[in-house]
Amino acid sequence: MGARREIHREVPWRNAMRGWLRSHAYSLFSALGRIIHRPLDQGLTIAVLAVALALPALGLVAVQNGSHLLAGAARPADLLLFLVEGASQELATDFADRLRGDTRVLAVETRSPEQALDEFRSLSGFADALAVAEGNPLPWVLSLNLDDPTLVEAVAESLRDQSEVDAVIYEGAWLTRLQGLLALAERTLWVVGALLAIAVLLIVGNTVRLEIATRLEEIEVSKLIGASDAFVRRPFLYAGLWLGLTAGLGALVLVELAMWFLHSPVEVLALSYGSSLTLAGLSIVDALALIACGMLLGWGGAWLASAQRLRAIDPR
Amino acid sequence: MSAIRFDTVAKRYAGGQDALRELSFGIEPAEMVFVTGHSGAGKSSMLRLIAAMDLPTRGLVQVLGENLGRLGRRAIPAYRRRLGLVFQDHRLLMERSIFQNVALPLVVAGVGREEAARRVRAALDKVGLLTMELKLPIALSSGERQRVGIARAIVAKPELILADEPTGNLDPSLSAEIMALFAAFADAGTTVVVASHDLNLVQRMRKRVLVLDKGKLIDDFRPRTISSRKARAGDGNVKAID
Repeated sequence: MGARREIHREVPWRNAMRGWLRSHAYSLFSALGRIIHRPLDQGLTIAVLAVALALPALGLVAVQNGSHLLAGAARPADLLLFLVEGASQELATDFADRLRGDTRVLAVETRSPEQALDEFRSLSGFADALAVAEGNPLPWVLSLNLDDPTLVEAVAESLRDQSEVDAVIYEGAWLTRLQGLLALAERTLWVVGALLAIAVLLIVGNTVRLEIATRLEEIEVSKLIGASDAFVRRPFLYAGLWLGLTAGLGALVLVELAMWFLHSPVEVLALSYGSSLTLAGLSIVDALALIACGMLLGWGGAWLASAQRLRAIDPR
Repeated sequence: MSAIRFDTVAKRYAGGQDALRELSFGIEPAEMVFVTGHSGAGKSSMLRLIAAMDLPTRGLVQVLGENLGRLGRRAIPAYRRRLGLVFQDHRLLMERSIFQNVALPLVVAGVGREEAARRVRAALDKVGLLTMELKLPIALSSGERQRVGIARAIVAKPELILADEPTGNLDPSLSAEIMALFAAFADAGTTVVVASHDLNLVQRMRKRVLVLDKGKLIDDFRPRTISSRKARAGDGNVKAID
């Protein structure tokens, strides 16, 4: 018996490695086989998972497109300073130079009353009316971009009391607010994404839990003939992985369908504003991340459901 | 060193019932031993201890060099892969084909597909079910299912075969064939322990017999003496094995 036992135990490492790989391959494909053999049950589960994964992915696409749109828009001045009536060019230039020395100010652009009048004529549609007006009622205007747009109110307050300044107008406040809203949407997206990720974990976990219940006899017999906890757990982990993978692919298809569905109306809307905006879908990296996310959540859900349960099933 | 050694082993279940009491014996490597006794004598409890399905309440259970009382949870699967278990209730997987059922220990051990197929067919051939490998267990008779269970037990060439009433559902000629198969395994170096009620079968095999009664070992004898013992009708031993 001694020799027999030695033969049994002294397996060369290559054989052991092959055996381990074979065991994984067996678990991987048997898990896929079990999904394929129950297309209706598993298809519904995969559909629910795909929707749960597609929702945050669509949100991500929306935020990315919004960010892209704002990044492409020319940054307007954060503040417009209307100088006092009758201010000379020298005064305007000196004041502009002083402002450039302020660390809070990123850039200053001066606009003479003549330039302002020309712009007003071209934009307002009152060119004929202005032609009959005497003189130029417009003052010198300084356009300011700030280093930190969130300081706009503080800077405006400090400039309002300057003797050269007649009025201060927030020009870029809308953009700042929009960017703030976009940041809020992005943060909300993370929260919703996290909640949906938990939902995916629970759905996969419940599916695997039911699967364990239906295969109790098989698990017990396998353990009796020498299957380790890891061996018994493996098919369930791979089942979670397959569910996550197929759900990730399904989510990708749903996102692309939504993009195709929204593409036309967005283009028409953008054209009406004179823009040539086209919706951008998920990048290759984002698509791969979505699939990887699905696989990770599937694996994680299966692990949560199986680890403790399978340890508890002990024929001993 | 003995293949199996029980030293003053006791097993008490949660309900307070003593399944085994002060049980001491040894079984040598490549020996074939029958364990007999009436229902509730402790045969199954003894096999459960050997299969590491239960822990002894007291005493030493040493099998294939392992002290099972001290065997860690992680070491149990590797230990069980050295055994071949035949269950009274077959414990086959009803959704799997005969081939897949028999191949299960080889899958667990990570044996390659071709090698596994070869070994499964050899095992099925030995129990006379080679032509039924694609059938499901539900399509088989009780006796055929038992033979599938036996094929599953021997397919991985275990060091020790434990069989709990393996011929309970088989006709006499097939029972004899299965026992001859077990004996052949013992001749080839495998230790075989068979729990059985079937005294005629035990007598025909002429192997060592352990007789249990109420958890105690009340007799341990060789087959040549069985007839004389049987003749002592009315003795506790005979009652136990009848």
